[in-house]
Amino acid sequence: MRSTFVEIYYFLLALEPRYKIVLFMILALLITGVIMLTIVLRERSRKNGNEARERRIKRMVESIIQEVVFTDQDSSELKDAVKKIQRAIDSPLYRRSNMAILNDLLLYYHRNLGGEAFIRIENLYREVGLKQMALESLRSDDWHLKAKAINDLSTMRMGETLFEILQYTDDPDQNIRYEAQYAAVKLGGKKAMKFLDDLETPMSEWQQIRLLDQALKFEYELIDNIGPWLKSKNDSVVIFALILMRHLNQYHERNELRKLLYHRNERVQEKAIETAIELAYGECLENLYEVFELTKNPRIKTRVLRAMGELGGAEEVGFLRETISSSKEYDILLEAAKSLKRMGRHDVLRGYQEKELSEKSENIVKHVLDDRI
Amino acid sequence: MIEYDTQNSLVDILIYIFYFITYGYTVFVMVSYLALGVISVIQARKYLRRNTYTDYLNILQSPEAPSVSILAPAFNEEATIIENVRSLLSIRYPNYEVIVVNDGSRDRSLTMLIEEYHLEAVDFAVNYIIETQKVKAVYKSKDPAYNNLVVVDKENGGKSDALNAALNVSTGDYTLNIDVDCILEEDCLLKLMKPFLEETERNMIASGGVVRIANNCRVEKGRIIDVNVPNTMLAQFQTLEYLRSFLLGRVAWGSLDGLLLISGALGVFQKELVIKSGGYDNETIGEDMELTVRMRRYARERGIDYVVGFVPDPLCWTEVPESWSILRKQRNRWTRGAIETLLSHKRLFLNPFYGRMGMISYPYWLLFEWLAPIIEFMGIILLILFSLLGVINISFLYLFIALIYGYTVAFTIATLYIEEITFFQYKKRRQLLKLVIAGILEPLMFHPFVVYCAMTGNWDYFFEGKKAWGSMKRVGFKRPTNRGQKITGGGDSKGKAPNIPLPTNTVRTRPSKS
Repeated sequence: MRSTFVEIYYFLLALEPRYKIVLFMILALLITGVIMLTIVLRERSRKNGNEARERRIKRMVESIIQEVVFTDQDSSELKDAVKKIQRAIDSPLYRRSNMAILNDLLLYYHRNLGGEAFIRIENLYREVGLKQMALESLRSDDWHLKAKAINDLSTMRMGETLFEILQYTDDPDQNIRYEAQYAAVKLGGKKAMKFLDDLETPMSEWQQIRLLDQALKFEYELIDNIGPWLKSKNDSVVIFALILMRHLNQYHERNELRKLLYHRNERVQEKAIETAIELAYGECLENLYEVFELTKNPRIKTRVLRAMGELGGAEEVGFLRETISSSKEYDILLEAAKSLKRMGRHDVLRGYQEKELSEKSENIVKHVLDDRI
Repeated sequence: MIEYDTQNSLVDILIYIFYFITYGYTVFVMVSYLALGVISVIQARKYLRRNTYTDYLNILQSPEAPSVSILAPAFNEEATIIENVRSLLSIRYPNYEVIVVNDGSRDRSLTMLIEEYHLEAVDFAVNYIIETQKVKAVYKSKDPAYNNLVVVDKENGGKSDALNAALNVSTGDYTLNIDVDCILEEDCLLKLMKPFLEETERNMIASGGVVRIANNCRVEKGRIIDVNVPNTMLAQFQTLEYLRSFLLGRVAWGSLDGLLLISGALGVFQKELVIKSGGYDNETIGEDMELTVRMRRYARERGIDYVVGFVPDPLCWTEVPESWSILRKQRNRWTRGAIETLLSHKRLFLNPFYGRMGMISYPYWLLFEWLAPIIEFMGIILLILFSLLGVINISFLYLFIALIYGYTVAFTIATLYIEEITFFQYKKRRQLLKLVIAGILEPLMFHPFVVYCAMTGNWDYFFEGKKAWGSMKRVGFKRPTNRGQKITGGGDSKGKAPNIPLPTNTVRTRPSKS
């Protein structure tokens, strides 16, 4: 046996270098393949183990959580419940992972419940040490741990952590920054939106949608800062302010809105027109005529025509009628016809003389008059 | 073996060139795959970490969600159309419409749609912004529950023509282009739209998502209920191929902004840019890749700072061919599609004006998608020839082949590992075992076949002038089908902005089916 190995050894030693390299690579690949397969299987066992542990913990703590959430308990009962939960998740090896399971469970309950149960879950979250764990993660260097911690704290409405979170609203890491901005609005309400005053980084549309989702809970409170935001150098802040104006009926800055109809950024222009429509800001109609003449962007033109349909009167009927007769662009024609319909002027749409319209315009008028579309 | 004295002879030089090309090329392929794999893992992990706290409910309830039109071309789809349209109508997104285009089907597709969804023809003024075959009628439902459904009945003109017709009637700011026989995940649109809404610095013009294989999966009410590995070995090979292509390749290219293909089965596009760049090209059979490349070119040539995104989540499920003959036709078609696109956009090749697309993506796809099978095929022929002549070292060659084989298997196992730690779709041990066995056999059974198909594709394109779609019989998800979709890629001057117009888009009727 030994001699065979010695023979193989000398055989390999005598090989040309290129043979040696390739043989070495094959061997390395073989070993890598086997190792990776072993890792895959181990990973699978680990996942199965984790899932089993998760099920076990859930089984143990779910009834306790439900008791805390759905019954009126005094402080000693709550302490007992906390102790029981801590015993269930206590483990020298898996404590952190067990805490994460508990965290997810509480978040789940919080998302799906309301009223008194909300407050009880929040108390439980504090008492079992999850808030502390989130605060520790907040000081971590990993962006994803930080962002997740901020998200957890805001979901669980840990208002006392607001000042800690506020310092991240202009963080260089986009993920952390967005979570902090969202948490600020959620925990601090409209006052916490002050971070918009000097926000230099752009806010994505996704972020604006998230912030709006929170802001809609303010209902129709007056937001004093909208004025400065509408004048911001950061276009995304201007757009967001317009969105807020529109959805929260903030009429008080309508003069600023009029200026934004001429904004250099066409996205802002578009949003400004939409906001004018929502706020029924008929006084800006004369500006809209100007915008229609000045812009080359068909999207802006169609928005203006829509605004005329929503805000206009007899004067605009003439303009829209004229647009249908003279324009050749489909979108413009369609929007002008829709606007007349919106104004209830079916008579105008039906009243075109024979051959007054091109075939295209005629089809569009028919399209608009068809209520099934 | 006869030993020739080839020192300093022409044969000697040729053999050295041969060695250089074959071995050098192989090593380059191996290294590039490894690099793409590493990038993919990093990106997928980042994506998953971010998604641990993403709440899609925000956008689902938002009045500010951008509008999307789902474009679904259908041709003789009576087996699946009702179920698939229902699945499209139940997608979770607040602001979307579904446009089904009946592209001159000869079966009962349209009648079934009319009956099931209570459709009636309306006075729809079609905006022929992109020229298409004549639209015969546009239908809307009498039932308000389906008020976001639009059915377009038009004369047959091919898939591209049908998509263009759908574009003409769409009202959304974005379009989700799909194959009507694919199954979409419920959250598909929410996840696909997120990159568009998150981008702040550049203009996102398109985004794709991962397509997975539905063969042998349990489907109920248009949703995947239970994910399984396909039963047949051929579909298992394709499962591995899709995993490698989407999980490793596309994710990495997406992060490098080098994607040249958003699959026709699943892709969101910015409608305005699709229209400005001319819509789908009826002249090509690889319309999805051609559009992606053309849109990128259009954006670049007009100085638009753009980006093409990719979502690593499995969002769409499709059936792949389970018969060798249909697979051969499909791969043949993909090859011809890739060649067409690459040739029609050849000015991208090593053109610095086009940035990464010209300097990295295009050459990569040219070398490793189009030319790879040719180089491989020629290499095998030459190897046989040289070994018969006894002018090459056979033992080293065997070792090298063993190395390639070992690498391929190891790479497949690495893919399975990445799948395991990321999206973990195949949960049972038996499923994993099946895929490992398929991975061991794939380089011996499947790969040579794919090379053969690509070679015939090249032959058909250059010598037979074939540009038609083959016939694909669809039988529905309840039974095994032979339906597949495209997973290939690819797309001269230097430095200056080009002044050559983009390929024009002219209408052409799809050739009659055999």
